[in-house]
Amino acid sequence: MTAGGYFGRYLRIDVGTGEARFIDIPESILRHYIGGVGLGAWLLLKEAPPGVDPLAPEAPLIFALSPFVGTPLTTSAKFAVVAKSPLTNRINDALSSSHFAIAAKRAGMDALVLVGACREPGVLIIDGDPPAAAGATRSNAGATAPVARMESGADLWGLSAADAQERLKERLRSTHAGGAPFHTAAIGPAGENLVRFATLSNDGRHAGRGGLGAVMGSKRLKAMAVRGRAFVPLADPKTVHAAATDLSARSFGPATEKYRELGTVANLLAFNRLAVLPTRNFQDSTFEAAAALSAEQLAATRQRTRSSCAACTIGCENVYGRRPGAEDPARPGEPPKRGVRLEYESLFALGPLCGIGDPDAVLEAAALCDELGIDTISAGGTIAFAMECAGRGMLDPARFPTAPGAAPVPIEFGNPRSLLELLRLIARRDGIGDLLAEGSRRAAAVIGGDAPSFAPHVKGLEIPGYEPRALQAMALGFAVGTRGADHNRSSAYEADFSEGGNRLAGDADTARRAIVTEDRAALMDSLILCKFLRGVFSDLFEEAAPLLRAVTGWDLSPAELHDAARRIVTARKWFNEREGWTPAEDTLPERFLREPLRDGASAGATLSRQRLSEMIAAYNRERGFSPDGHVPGAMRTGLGLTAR
Amino acid sequence: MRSDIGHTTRPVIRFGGIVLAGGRSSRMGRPKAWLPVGDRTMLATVAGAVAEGLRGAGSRLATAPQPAGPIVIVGAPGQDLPPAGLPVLRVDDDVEGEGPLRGLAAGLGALTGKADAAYVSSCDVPLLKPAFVARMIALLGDADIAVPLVDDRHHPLAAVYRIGVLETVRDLLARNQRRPFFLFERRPTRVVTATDLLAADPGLDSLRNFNTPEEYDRLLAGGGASSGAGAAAAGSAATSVVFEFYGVARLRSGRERIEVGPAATTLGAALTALERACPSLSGTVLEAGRLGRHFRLSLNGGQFVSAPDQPLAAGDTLVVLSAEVGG
Repeated sequence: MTAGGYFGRYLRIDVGTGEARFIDIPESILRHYIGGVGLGAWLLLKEAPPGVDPLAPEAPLIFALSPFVGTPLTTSAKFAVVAKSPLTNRINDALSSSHFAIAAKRAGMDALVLVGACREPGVLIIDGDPPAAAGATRSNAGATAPVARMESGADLWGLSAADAQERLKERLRSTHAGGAPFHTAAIGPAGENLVRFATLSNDGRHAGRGGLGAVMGSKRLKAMAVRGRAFVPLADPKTVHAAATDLSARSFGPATEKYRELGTVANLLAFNRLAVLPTRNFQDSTFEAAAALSAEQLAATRQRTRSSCAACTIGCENVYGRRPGAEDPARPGEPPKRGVRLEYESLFALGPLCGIGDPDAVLEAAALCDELGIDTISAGGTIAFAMECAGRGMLDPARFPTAPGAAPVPIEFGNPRSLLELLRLIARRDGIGDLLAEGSRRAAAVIGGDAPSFAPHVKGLEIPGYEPRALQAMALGFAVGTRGADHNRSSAYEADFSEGGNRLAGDADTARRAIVTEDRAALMDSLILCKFLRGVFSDLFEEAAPLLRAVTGWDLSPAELHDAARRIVTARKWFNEREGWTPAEDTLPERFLREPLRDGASAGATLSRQRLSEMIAAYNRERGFSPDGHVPGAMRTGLGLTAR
Repeated sequence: MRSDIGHTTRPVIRFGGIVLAGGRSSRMGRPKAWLPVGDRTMLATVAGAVAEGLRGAGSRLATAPQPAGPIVIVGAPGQDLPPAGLPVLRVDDDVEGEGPLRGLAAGLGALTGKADAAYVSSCDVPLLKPAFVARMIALLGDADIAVPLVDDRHHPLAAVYRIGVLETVRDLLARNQRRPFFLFERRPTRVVTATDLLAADPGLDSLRNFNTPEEYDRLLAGGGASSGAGAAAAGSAATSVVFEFYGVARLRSGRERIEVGPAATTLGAALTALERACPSLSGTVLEAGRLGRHFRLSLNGGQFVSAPDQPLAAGDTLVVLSAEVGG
C-alpha cells in the first residue's frame, strides 16, 4: 500500500502521439526525494536523455507535486516545474502556486511528465473526471488513467497566457459541461517564440525562471487543462487537520506580517539603505529614486488590493492599480483588464537595475512581462546589460539594429521607452530582441569585447536583486547554485541579514551558514511549503518530521529529513555534472571580482577572486564533494544516483 | 565607437536660489535674518549654504568649477536686511504677511528668464547643508516640484520649484488658497522622504528651524559654525542615537526615524528609550525591551546587532528592518 499523501505514480504523456500512461514510483524514492524539486530532480535524471537539447522533443517537461498538495496545510497548493533549462543547459526548477496543483493531484498522480512535440500548436486536456471511462487507457498499476487528449491550440497561439487560459476554460465549459472544473496552465508569445527566459503561467501565477515556457513552446504546446476527483489518502487525518489549524494560526502572526502588509516589495527601500540594491546593471548599489518606487510610497499613493495563492493564509500578493489612462499591454487603446501583481524581484529588475525611477513605467513593464510571458529578473538583467553596452558604445546599430525597418529604439538607462520597447522586441525575437531573447550570457558572447565581464548571470541565469559584493553569503549561494544565480534554492541572504557573520567579508563559516539555508530550502521546496512560512518554524526539520509522518505514515525523524535535503541538493548537482558541468562555472562575472562598490553603507566593499574561491572550497568540503566540487562516486552510489 | 542608438540629450536646467527673509519674527522678538551664527549673520549663513549647494549641484554635471546660479532674497516691503555676503537680487513681497506662497511668487517672478528652477529656503535654518541643497536639486527629475516629507510633514521651504509653477501659485493666491499643499496637489510633485536625504545630511539638520530665543540657543548649542556653509554642527546630545524604520517597523511606528537619548550608550538603553518614545512598537518590533525575533537592527547600515550590551556612540544610526528579506 502506498504511503499517505501519494498515489505512487506519475503520468507520462507524449504530446506528439497523445500516448499516456502511469508509471509507478517506488516508495523508497518518494521517501528519499519527497516531492516538488526533489522528486522533480529524480524524474529529470530518469527521463532526460544525457546531453539532451532542452528544446528537443525528447527533453522532458516535469510537473512535480508533493505529499502536501490537496491537504488542508496552508500554502501547500504548489508544484515544481522541472526541466533542463534552455537558458543554462543545467537543471531548472520553478515553483508555482495555484489550483492547477490541486487539480493535477486529484487527477491521481504525483507528477506529470511531458515529452514529444505537437506537429501544430496544441492543447493538452487531462480529464480525471470524465463522464464515462470509455476510451481511457489503463495504467501499469491497474488503475484507470485519466483521459488525456490533444486538441488544437491554433486559436490560442499568439495570445497572452492569461487570455489563452480564459479562452480555453470557456471552450471546456461548453465541451465538458458538468464534473469538476478544469484548471489550466499556458505560455505567452515569448514561450511560443522560444525566448530562453519565457515563463509558464497558471491562474495568474508563473513558474518564472530558467525558460520553462520555452521548453513548453518547443513542444508547440500552448496550454494544458486538468481536472480530477481522486482524493489524497492521509495516514493520520486527525493529526494533519490539527497541524493545519495550528499552522494557519501561526501564519497570521508577526513572522509573515511584512508579506501581508507590504509584500516582498518592502525589501526595496531597506536594501537601498544598506546599499545592497543592484542598480544600473550592478554598477551601483543604491538608487536615487528608490523612495518613489518603495512599498511604503506605493502603498500610500496607489490603489492596492491584496490577494493569496490557492490554499494560502498569508496573502502576500499586492496587486496595484494602473495610472488613469493606462492601456492594456495586449490591447492598445483599451484600459487594462487586470491590475499588476508586483514582487520585489520584478520591481528591482525593471526599476533600479534599468535605472527606471518612474513607478508607472515599472508597473507597465511588469504587466507587459506577464502578458508576454517573460521572466522579469532575466528580462531586466538582460536589458540592463544591453543598456550598459549601449552606453559604452558596444551596440553598433549597423550590426545590432534595434528593429529593422522601424525607427531606432533608444537604449539607455532610465528611459522607460527603452525598457518597454525592448521587452516587446524580445518577445517577438525582432531585431535586437532576437539577440536579447538569448539571455545576457549568450548576448555577451555575440557582442564580444569586454561584454562577458559585466553580463549579470551565473551559469546563464540572470542575478536576482541581492548585491553579491555586499552580501557575500548570497554571492557564494549564487556561485555554487545548481540553477545558476538563484535566490530561491539558496536563500543564503538569510545568513547575510543575521548576526554572527560579516556580510562584507565572507569566510569558511559563511559556507556553513549558506549550506544551512540551502538544505532548508531543499526541504521546503520538496514538501512543498511556501518559504514565506519559514519564520513561523523554530526548527523546520523538527517540525516537518511529525507533519510528514502524519501525512505519509512513515516513521520519520528530523535526521532523515536532513539526509533527504542533502540528497536532493546532491541529485541536482549530479544532474549538472552529467550534463557537462565544470568547476569553472561556479563563479561570478568578472565585474563582481574586480570592481568595488562605490556608494552608501557598502561603499568600498569588494569580493576578491581568492575570497570567493576559499568560500567555494569550504562549501565543497562541507558538502562532501571533491575539492573542485565533483560528486564523488561513493557518494553517488550511496545516494543511488547512477548515470541514468 | 559610441552607439547612436543609446543616447538622448536632455536640456540643461538652470537652477537658482530663493531665500525668504520676510517673516515677522514675532515670537523671536528680533529679526531672525540678523541673528549671529558664528561670525556671520543668519541670512548670510543660509544664503551661503544655498549658493554652495547650487555650485555643488552644477559640478555634478560639469567638468569645470561652476558658478552659483542667481540668488534672490525676498523681504517684506521696507524691511532692513543684512548683507548676504554674496551677490544677490533683493525683491519684496508685494503683500506682507500672507505666508510662504506670496514670498515664493515674488522670488519665482524675480528669477523668470534667469533660471528654470530654484531651491527655496526660509532664512531660519542655520544648519542648512550645501549637500542637502544639491541633493534636493538632483531629485527634481521631471517633476515640477521636489519637496521633503519628513515626520509626516511637508517642508515647502526646503524644496525645489520650477519657475513654471508661478502661474499656479498666483492662481492659488487669487483664490485665497495659501497652503503650499494646494500647490503640490496641482503640479507634478516629487515627494522626497528622509531616506533619500540621509546620505547628504544624516541628521536632517537642514530642516531644523527655530521660532523662539530658546529654540535658537538650543539649535546652536551643539557646536559652533562649521566650514563651508557656515552651518553649526548637529545639536544632538552627545549620547543620542537615531533609529530609522523600514517596512513593518515604519508602519508600526508611524514615522521614518526618531532620535532617542540622552543616555543611549548601549543598545539595551537605546531600545528602552525607543519603547518609551514609540509605545506602538511594543509587542511587535520590540518584545520585553529587546528587539523582536522577526526584526533586525543594522548598526550604521553595516553589521547586524542585538546584544543589549552592544556599545553605541553618539550619532550612531540603527536601521530597523524585517528579518524576512526573501523576495
